[in-house]
Amino acid sequence: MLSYYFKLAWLSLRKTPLLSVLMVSTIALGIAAAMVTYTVSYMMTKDPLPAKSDRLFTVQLSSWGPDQPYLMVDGQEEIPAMVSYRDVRGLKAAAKAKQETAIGLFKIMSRAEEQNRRDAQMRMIRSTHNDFFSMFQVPFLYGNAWSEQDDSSGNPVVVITKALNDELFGGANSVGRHIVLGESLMQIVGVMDDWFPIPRFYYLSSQVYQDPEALFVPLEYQINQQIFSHNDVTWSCWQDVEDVDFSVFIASDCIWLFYWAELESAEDRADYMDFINAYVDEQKSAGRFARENLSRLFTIDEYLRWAEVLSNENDMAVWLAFAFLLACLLNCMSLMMTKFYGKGSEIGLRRAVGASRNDICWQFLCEAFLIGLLGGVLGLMFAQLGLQLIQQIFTYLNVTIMQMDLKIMLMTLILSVVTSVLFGLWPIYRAAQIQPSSQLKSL
Amino acid sequence: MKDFTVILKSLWHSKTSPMLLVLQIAVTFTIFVNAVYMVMQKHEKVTAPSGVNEKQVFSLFINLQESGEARVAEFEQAIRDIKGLDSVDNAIPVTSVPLSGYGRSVDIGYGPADEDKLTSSGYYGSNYDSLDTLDLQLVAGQWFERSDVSHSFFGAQPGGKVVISRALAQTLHPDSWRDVLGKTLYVHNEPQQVIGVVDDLKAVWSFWRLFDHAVLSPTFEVRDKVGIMVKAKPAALEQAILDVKGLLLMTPGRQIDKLKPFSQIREESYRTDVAELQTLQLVLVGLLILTMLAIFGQARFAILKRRKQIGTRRALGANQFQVLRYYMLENFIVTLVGVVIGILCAVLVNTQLVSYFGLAPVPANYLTVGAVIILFAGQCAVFQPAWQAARVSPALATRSV
Repeated sequence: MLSYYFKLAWLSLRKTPLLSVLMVSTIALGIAAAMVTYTVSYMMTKDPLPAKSDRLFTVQLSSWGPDQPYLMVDGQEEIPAMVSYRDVRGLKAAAKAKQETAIGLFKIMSRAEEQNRRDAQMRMIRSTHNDFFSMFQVPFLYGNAWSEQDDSSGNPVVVITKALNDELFGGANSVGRHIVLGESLMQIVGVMDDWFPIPRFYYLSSQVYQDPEALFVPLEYQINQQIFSHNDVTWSCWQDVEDVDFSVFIASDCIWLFYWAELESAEDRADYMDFINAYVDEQKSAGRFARENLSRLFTIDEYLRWAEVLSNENDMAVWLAFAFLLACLLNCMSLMMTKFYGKGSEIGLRRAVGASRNDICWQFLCEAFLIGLLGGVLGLMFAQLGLQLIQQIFTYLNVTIMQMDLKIMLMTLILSVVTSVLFGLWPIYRAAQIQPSSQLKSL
Repeated sequence: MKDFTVILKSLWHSKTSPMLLVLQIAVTFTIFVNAVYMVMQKHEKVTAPSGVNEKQVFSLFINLQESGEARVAEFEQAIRDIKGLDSVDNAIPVTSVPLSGYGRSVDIGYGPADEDKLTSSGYYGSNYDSLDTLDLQLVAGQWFERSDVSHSFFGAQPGGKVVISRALAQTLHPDSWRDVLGKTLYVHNEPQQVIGVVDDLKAVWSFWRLFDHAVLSPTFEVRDKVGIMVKAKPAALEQAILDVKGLLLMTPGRQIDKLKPFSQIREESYRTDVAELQTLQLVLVGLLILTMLAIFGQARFAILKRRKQIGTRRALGANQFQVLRYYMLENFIVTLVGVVIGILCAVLVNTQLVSYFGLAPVPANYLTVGAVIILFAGQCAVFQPAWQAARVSPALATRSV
């Protein structure tokens, strides 16, 4: 019987092509608007590392000076998100986590060895430990991360992104070739494949939607070279470091590095926190860490919430888009009224030859279902178009934010079908109320 | 217009569907007017001139490797070398670059203490050539003498001279901005004599409330990283950028940062604004299409219901034009009611927006223009169904179902 109703629905849609197109495109428009905004907001806040998100932590320490807190927020003392190089050394040496890495940043002129001096460009460089690449599941196109040895000696090695490899070496395997940073020659050990973690959680919250930097070097290399871009990176000190020597600066409590640790399992969090507290006590007895110990671990999600990148207040745009969808659905509802009203005589005839009210309802439910399905399919097409438009508008955001995954596509179809059936209920109810007798008389 | 009363009666007779349409038009109109106004304001903002010759100017930052007095000489030599290039017209040292987000603001007041502060302003420390390099327009007073130029590590020399932007002068003296000339203004708590006013110069942050305020000082600053703005010869911008880069990189250890033509600085500065603008425009188009679809569907419904009536009217001698007119007028009335309610809602919503988000109130002509647009869209949407109605054959009335 259902298949017969679908056949009827199809015929009825074909009979009033204009009205059907109107209904389907109204739903499609609303669905597309809602899903485009939902996609963007969903992709911007999704879990960037689902495999490890419960056992990856950033470490924040109460290393600030005794005179005043780092920051007061609503009467509560806040501690910085970054740590000092001195504490990076301390934590890394203890090696309590499965893998751990510091994350720094500096800025320097860079070019391929073959390029002319004048083609050098100022680029941001990430300084990390080699664990960075395995912890954050960075895929490699050629070569791999640098070795433990490179980490400890601070060898002049570099990992570059696919985009930079395309720019400087035309996409060829450049492992073993050289890049000039400032005045020194760096050997390329690895070329990353496409890797755009969104949100990019591992550094400052203000930069979560930017692409990763193009070059990665060992942190110890930066220390050996005594590079610190104080004009161009975020850093903070409670001690006076005006005109001090580099060695004094890195031994100070100045904070300029993020620290991430990956544990074996989520259950190890408490043990690792105990270790951090023990480390803080040790530093206190050495005369540092003069403040109350507020040190803490944050998972990716906790860090992004704390930094207010992810807010619990839902996106205004998503609300608006769903309001727009509601308007579209109300529209479609009045169109269905029109449609079913026009079929009064058909209903009367079917009732007269023995169809129950339920049968009529089923028949029109199938029709509403079909309209919803077609609206969903068209809505998907509109949504792809909308996402393309948005990509052109927001050129400075990573493209992956504006791409639907399979889950969202399915959701789109389901939403479309469910809402059109739901909004079809009233017109269907009205249609089922039609008296057969009134329709069989001529007017 | 004898149709008029008839239409009102028939609308009153079956209220639900025109009512729905009226509501939808009202809601659309409310959103539409407020959004259009936001679009207009944003558009005005992103197209406003920066006061700088945008076609020929580019900016960059370099590191200085000497120290003390040798560093000043190194900087002055670098500027001289750049000015010596064939493709370059002029070049100046700067502490900030307009619109770039890189630079600073200063407190402004008529007294040295913090409580004397009246407002804030963008700050540019440069030298004698800044008028020519940026193509600023002096609208009152005079320009610096070459002897006024000096250098510092940070900030202007106390007791020096400054030139300010007209918007800042107007903020200080709303009734007669020229009164600012000759006054001693405290810039960053240091006394400075105002000797001139330039027509238009913007601060560093395009999102700033006081974006129009600027102070120019003839004191350029020398630190380990310094800014330079260069004016290329006409149509030689690309060449000048290459030449400057090649020249500067001949020095070992030289670093060049943020080398950008001004057009790019402008684009980056307004990027989010432009994105919002375009998104809003998309929303507006979507809303209009939706409303037109609704009117269209509604009108078709009305006509479907009344085919026999129309046939009867035609049989009684109404011509096609009269039928067309009837439905066009009916739509006009329904839309008008929607728009009137919409105007009330739009004003209400707008007063809320003004009080919550500090937006400017919508001017009255937006409401009228918006109303005309919606009415026109409605007439467009109803035309096809009305035309179909007009073509109903009189014979229809004589047949039964």
